[in-house]
Amino acid sequence: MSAPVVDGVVLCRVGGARLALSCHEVEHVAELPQGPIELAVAFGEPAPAEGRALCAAGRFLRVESVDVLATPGLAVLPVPAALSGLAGGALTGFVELAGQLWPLASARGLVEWLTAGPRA
Amino acid sequence: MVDGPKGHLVFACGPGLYAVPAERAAEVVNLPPLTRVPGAGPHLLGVFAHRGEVLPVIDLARLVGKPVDEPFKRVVLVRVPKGAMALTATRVIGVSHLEGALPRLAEAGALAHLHGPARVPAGECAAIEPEGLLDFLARGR
Repeated sequence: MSAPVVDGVVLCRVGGARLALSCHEVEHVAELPQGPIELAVAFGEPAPAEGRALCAAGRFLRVESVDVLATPGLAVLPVPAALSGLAGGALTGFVELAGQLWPLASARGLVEWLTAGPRA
Repeated sequence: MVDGPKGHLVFACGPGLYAVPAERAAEVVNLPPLTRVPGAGPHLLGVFAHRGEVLPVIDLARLVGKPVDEPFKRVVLVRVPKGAMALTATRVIGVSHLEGALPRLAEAGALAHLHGPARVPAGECAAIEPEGLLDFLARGR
């Protein structure tokens, strides 16, 4: 069985945290609308005053900054067993870019989990 | 329940002493920079990549409700058939043999996967049941 890969990622930052989403799941990047879902909540950070909004799964997700890496075939490292239930199961793996690990999440799963209200 | 003398790696995490079965203690490594993960509880400090594998770092002191201010410099890598995790350590004591059957420290929560107290030369320690602890963490606690 071949190792899982992801074709292009949207790299999101908020506070000191970072998160990757598959390019296929992000519809577009936009100016901030009213009442976006806050990625900061996923990391226990205060919501940034500014930022950009990603449109994914029909909702707007506020991030502090965003970059797109269109590289196809990025290797995805599996989620450790101890983290399998994290973020409502939205965490799907990790990608390693320039020596840094980036958590990779399902945009739909993340939006659903954040909309439902993560446990403290 | 821990029964029969078995080799355990004993280490300190703040003032508390802990032991993991020696056959489950894969390695002790210096704590590298960590990557935060979404939805992490306060006991999950982050992850790091080690030999091509992503390892979660568990603040053992915080997990058992005894947080410490002391910075963690090392982690004990614990491996069970289902996966691996890194447990924070402020000091590694060495290998000791734990004698006798040890009761669980609690009926529920993380402490249900610790047994003791067990007497070792450095003092009293809690013996970690790594399989149960990993399952507990995987349930999203």
